[in-house]
Amino acid sequence: MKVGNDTIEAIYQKYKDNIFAIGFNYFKNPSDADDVVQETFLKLYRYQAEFESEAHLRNWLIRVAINECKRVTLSTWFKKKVSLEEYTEQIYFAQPEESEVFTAVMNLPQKYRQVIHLYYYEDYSTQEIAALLGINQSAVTTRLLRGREKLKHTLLEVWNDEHDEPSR
Amino acid sequence: MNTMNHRDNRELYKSAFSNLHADHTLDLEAMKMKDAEKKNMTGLRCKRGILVTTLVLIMMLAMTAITYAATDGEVFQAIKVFISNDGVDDGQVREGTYTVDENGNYVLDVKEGDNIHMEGPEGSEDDWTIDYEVGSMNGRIKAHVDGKDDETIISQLFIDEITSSGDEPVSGWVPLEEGEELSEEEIQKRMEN
Repeated sequence: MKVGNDTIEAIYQKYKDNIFAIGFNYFKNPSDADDVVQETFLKLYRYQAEFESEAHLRNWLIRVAINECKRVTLSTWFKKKVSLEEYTEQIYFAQPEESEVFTAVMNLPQKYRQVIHLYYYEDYSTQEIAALLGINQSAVTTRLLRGREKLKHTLLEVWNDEHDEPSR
Repeated sequence: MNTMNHRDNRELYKSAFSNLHADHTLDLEAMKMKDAEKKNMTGLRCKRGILVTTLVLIMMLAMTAITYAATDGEVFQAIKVFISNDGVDDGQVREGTYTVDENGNYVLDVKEGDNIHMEGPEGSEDDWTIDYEVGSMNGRIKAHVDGKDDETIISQLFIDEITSSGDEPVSGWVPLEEGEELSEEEIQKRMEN
């Protein structure tokens, strides 16, 4: 599928929230997450290549977003930001459990919550996550296991036991 | 495998995070202007390191939380080292330990096919990670790290008796630029110089 000026708007509408979630997961504030969205789609606009499939495009966007998160810029340091607590209060959660899970995940160390997010929200396998993050698969597995343990410890009955190793 | 629990946790997670929404509308004209501005920018640009094919070293470092008992060469902490082999599925990660020598270097013996993942003390943002794919090499690696207030610092990598199958062993210090990634060939080249 070819990305051009006529298709980029539709792609943006489809994936902007996914990219925002990745940025928010990393930075824990919406303004930096918005920057990640803008920079990611700016790169897509510039790249304007042909992608093999929708999945290929999606992977490309997520990979770029992850790399954008790692780039520290001066604007990141000097921008006024909403705190995580303030922002969480603005979010509507249909059920209390959702709010608890959200808070618990955002309180995980960044390297755990990043893997957790890619696994549970983006449905990536540990192998795919390893490729996206540039780390080896065993690292992904251990981070996922540790992240789950912490969530279980924090959320108790809200987060179900998962006794098997993550093997997707 | 407990598929019900997997779906429950996954569904719950997705419900929780589906409430995040980007705030911007896409403005193509603004993007074009921003793109033109970037192309006109002058100044220093960071060069990326050489991408690795067989050797990948990624390190995110801990700061002051790690104190080195380095001068006496004792094992300073049973920091977990996860070792897995190529082709092994997720469940067969095993743990090992490594030592810190008198110079503050982390020393670990590796063998062919190992994938090394080391992590610092759990439960803190001030921990660190080394991911190192041994690939076809056997031997010992040492990593000398410098503490700084942010991540990704490794100053030198010592390749000790690393050999690809059938080749003569090589050893020596390889200085690295911050966050640099090196291929096996590049490491060989730098050690020879």
